[in-house]
Amino acid sequence: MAMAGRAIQVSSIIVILLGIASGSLSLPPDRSLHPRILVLVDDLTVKSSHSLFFASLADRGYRLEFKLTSDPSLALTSYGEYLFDGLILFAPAAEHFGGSVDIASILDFVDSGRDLILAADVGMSETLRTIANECGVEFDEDSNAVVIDHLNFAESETDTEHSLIAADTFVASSAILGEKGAEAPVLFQGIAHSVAPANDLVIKVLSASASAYSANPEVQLNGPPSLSGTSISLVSVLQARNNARVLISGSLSLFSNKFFVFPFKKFGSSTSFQRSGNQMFAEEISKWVFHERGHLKAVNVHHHKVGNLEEPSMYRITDHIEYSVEIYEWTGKTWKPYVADDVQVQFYMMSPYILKTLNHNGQGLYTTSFQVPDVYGVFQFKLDYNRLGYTTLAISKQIPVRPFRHNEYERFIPAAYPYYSSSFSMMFGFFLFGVVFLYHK
Amino acid sequence: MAGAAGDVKALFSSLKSAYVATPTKLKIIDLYVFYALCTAVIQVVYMALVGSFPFNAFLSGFLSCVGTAVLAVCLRMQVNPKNKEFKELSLERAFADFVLANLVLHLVIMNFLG
Amino acid sequence: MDSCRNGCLILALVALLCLSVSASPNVLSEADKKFGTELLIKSEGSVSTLEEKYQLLRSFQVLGIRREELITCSEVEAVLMSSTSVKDLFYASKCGETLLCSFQESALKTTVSRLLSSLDNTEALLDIHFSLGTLAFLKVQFPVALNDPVSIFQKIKVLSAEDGSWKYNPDDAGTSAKAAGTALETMGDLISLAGQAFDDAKIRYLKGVASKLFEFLEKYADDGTQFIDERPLDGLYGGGGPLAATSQVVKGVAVVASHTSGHIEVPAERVISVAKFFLTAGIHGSLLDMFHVLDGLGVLDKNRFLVPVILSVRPSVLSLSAKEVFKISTTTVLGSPVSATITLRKAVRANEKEPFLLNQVLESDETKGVHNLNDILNKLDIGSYDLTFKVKILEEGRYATEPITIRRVLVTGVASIPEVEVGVLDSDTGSTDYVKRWNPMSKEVVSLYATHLQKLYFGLDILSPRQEQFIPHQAFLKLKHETKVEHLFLLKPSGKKLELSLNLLGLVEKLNYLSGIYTIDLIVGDVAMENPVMWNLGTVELDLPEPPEGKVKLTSQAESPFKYGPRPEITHMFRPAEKRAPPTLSNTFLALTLVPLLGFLVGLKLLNTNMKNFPSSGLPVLAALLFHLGIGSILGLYALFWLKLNLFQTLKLLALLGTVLTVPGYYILSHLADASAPKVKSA
Repeated sequence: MAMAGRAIQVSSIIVILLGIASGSLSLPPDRSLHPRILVLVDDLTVKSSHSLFFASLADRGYRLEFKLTSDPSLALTSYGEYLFDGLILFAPAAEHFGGSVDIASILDFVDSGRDLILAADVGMSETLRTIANECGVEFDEDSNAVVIDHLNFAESETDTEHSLIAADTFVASSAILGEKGAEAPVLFQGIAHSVAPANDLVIKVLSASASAYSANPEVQLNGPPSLSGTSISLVSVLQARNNARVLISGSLSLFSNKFFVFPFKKFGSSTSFQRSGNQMFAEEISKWVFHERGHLKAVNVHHHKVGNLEEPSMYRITDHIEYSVEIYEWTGKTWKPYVADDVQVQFYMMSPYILKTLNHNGQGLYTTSFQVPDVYGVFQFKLDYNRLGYTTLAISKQIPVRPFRHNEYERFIPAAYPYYSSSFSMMFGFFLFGVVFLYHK
Repeated sequence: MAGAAGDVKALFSSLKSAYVATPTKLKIIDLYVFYALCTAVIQVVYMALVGSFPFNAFLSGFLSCVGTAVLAVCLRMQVNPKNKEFKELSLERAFADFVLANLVLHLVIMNFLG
Repeated sequence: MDSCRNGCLILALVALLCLSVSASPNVLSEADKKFGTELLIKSEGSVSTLEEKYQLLRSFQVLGIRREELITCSEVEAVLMSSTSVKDLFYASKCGETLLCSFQESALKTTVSRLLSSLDNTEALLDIHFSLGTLAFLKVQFPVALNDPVSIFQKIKVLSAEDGSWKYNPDDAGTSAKAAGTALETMGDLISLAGQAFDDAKIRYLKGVASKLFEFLEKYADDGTQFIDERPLDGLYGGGGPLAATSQVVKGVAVVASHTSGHIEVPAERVISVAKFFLTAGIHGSLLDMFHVLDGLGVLDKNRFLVPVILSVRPSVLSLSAKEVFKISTTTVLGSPVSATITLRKAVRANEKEPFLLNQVLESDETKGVHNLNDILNKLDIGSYDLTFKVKILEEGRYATEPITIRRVLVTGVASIPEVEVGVLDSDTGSTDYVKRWNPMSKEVVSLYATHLQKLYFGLDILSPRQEQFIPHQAFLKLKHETKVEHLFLLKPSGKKLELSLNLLGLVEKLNYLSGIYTIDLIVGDVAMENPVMWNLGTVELDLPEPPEGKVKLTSQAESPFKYGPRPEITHMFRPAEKRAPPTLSNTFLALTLVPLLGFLVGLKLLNTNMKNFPSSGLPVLAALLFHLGIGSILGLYALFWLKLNLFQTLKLLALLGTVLTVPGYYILSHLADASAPKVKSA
């Protein structure tokens, strides 16, 4: 299963190089405080039936623009500049998009570092399937198949398929799901997708339980279904190497008003829930997708010899040095200091000679000090920070390390006194000899 | 066997008598060389005992002895009246060379001593 | 393009209401109404205009709820007295109508005269509509007389088109059915204000317009819903989509019907399809959409032209084990009961052809309008059934319904699985090497062992509550290796049992040659089963051959623990310092190295060295002294160089000293050479 599409990889290499040069991968520079989001829908009733979700986005300051997928004036860019900072595709059956939008332009949009929310549902089109594939997610090939779980469905008077799942297998990440996470199971009704285990960049946020499977409820199964059990992902996210975030959900109704305010009882358990966890889940995960959480930047990398303040251009082996970096997290409005105990720096040349955990002062300043190894060469201070739900920090600063100069070695060593004395004795002996030899008769 | 021992004894006594005849100046040189080599040997013994740290100091010390011994041997060869090769070279001239070479040697030794 | 867009609307609406999969939508249930009420209460805070307040009030009214906080009668009166916008007046009066306010003529005299004069001056349909609507409300409170009803009628009529649609303004380019609905509503208000101006011809004309309006209904999908689509013209005058258009048309017809006597011919099945349209749309969206749906349903629930009646079968999922019973009722769209006789024409199991039951008249509880199917309950087994009903309404003139309706119901119950047979058979002969019966009561796990030359066998019986063989949708057997690699197999019906036979020889490649202990899980489930199971039957140890050359065994798929976590710290081990001599030893040898120097001095003494050749006086003495002093100073410089100086300083000084040294050196050496030369010459 291919990693995130090659298109994303190639252009993200360029971005990473730029990022290394600039010292941090920040948000796109033209992202304003009120980001603009384009919402593409099949028809405008989605705007009404999912109004609570859109209202929560608008309350957080996003400017939403609703357009039909068939609108001929659709455009993501204008004269080379992007018109939107985020894209929401709530149009599972859309085959073609109007205007200048198509699969390639949507993928370019993600390549540029902008975010995407994609909701699929029964009857999803090939176009959306292709976009999802490029993001590392494969939907069930059978277009009539839904996720069925006879042991974890939500009881309802009218449910005849057990396809309304109450899912509570979440990824363990407070960055993605917020501090509290979802307090009630999340209702899901839609199609299944899977994520290749070899893919590092895609994370299963909401998975199905072990008894779930993906099949057409009207038809008896001929063979075991291709997707079953916990390998079915209901909602996944992709964090691309350029830190663009993509949310892929197999159910459009997960975001609907009806599911947000739906009291239900899960089959097999006696607790009945007044509200599903959908609203909280959708809000928290939309915060993560639009970089209100989990987006880090590392700036102001400094290193210097203990006692000095300026940054030298070269160190000597066995020098004592201090390294400091500032890490901030974006809150949606400002950068606030990031606090964690597991940020590490490496002193690296082909392999890490030193790996140390940095101490933080609570204000986002991370420092440590160590002694340069007694190997000389060109080293790097490598800060490689990769945590679930956070953007990757990859900052490195090169610094050469030289060996001792000829006059930096230890002198007047007690163990060498015999040698010193013999040298001086020879000198004296020579002097004496010179005198005696000349004037002896 | 007895004959060999007797030959060795005869060899030694003839060597000894021949040596006594050498001029004093040459004996001074010989003494100087012997002194240098003794110092060298003591340094080697020391190095064998404790290892070669610091190696540059050992080399300095050792080579100052050996170097100056070699220069003294050269001087002896040049000064020896019996040596026909250096007949036209005066003693003073040889001595001047000796002094110059030693001064250079000791500069190098001091630089390398550390 | 537009019809596709709105047709897509319908598809989406159907898709959105995924909770009810039956062929026809159900009437609004109590749960739905409660949900709608909650959403409306939530949006109370965000309404500001009179139009929105009216929409909220009317929505609450249809749901049967009074909300006092939105607007009071005195506020309405204030608007009516002071406002100059006919639109505001109209919506204020609508609020008043919903709240059942009453006003005095004295306060609103000027308003009335303002409205009357605006009627004379305007040609726009919406202005006439708002003015007449306000006046019609006021007429209920106190007498109101129009100046020239006939000319108003003409003004409205002149905007009509040949096909029965209407314009909003004389200079509009297109027409729409929604405008026709507005026109009808306006005409209805006109009749209530000045009925005497309407002769029979005009009434007949109006009724004709009303009937013809139903021909504008469009359908997109085959789900029985039809609706009035929005035209571009409607977008210029408020919009609101198909929901608003359909609701307006239905309202217009209802207002005309309520103000005329006699009958309006409307096609029954179209009215029913409009009812289905509103019920499918549901009340889950924004305030505006909910208002249009509830307004339309409110009109359809009670009107004077035709009230659609919907058959409901509750519950649509019946549980045999809970001994539930079917209750079939015929109600209006909002749930008011309507008397009818219902016959169950036939009941067919889903995906089968043979009907199961034929022609059963249902006994009814007349007072509640509820019928029940108790007789056939003990014949039903678990599964899905399609029930075909024939409905005959007692009051046929006022009500309309589909004569034949099909409803799908699901009957659930407890399926029993007495035991699971687990065995290991020999591949070649088929003889049983080992068999065990796993009991769901005791749940005692089995422990099997099999090599690639054997077969694994799993078999079980599933019986429905009526002791018939039952084939569930999901009957999986899962083998999970210790390394978390899973393989899923399907148990298939064979004869009376569900069986799975795994020939390990053929499966070796699929299992990736991975030997070891696999846990066996059995998962059985179906929509009709109330007791789905996931049982751990035990473990099987598989002994598979080694993979052939070139094939790599699937390694564990566990993630590296350091993928997202901190790595262990690395500190550099510095090279150990060289072993050094203990100070005593070095000091000893320090002394030892000075011993040869002493030996040298002693030797010199023994050799009887003298200084006889030292020059006695004059310049040679000076030269000799300087020479040796120079050498000594150079050696001292070297010592200083070792102690303190660097090479550059030393070399500079050396150059100086050396140059100085050459003079006395040359002099004394040549002096000594001259002194000894004659001696040599003479020898």
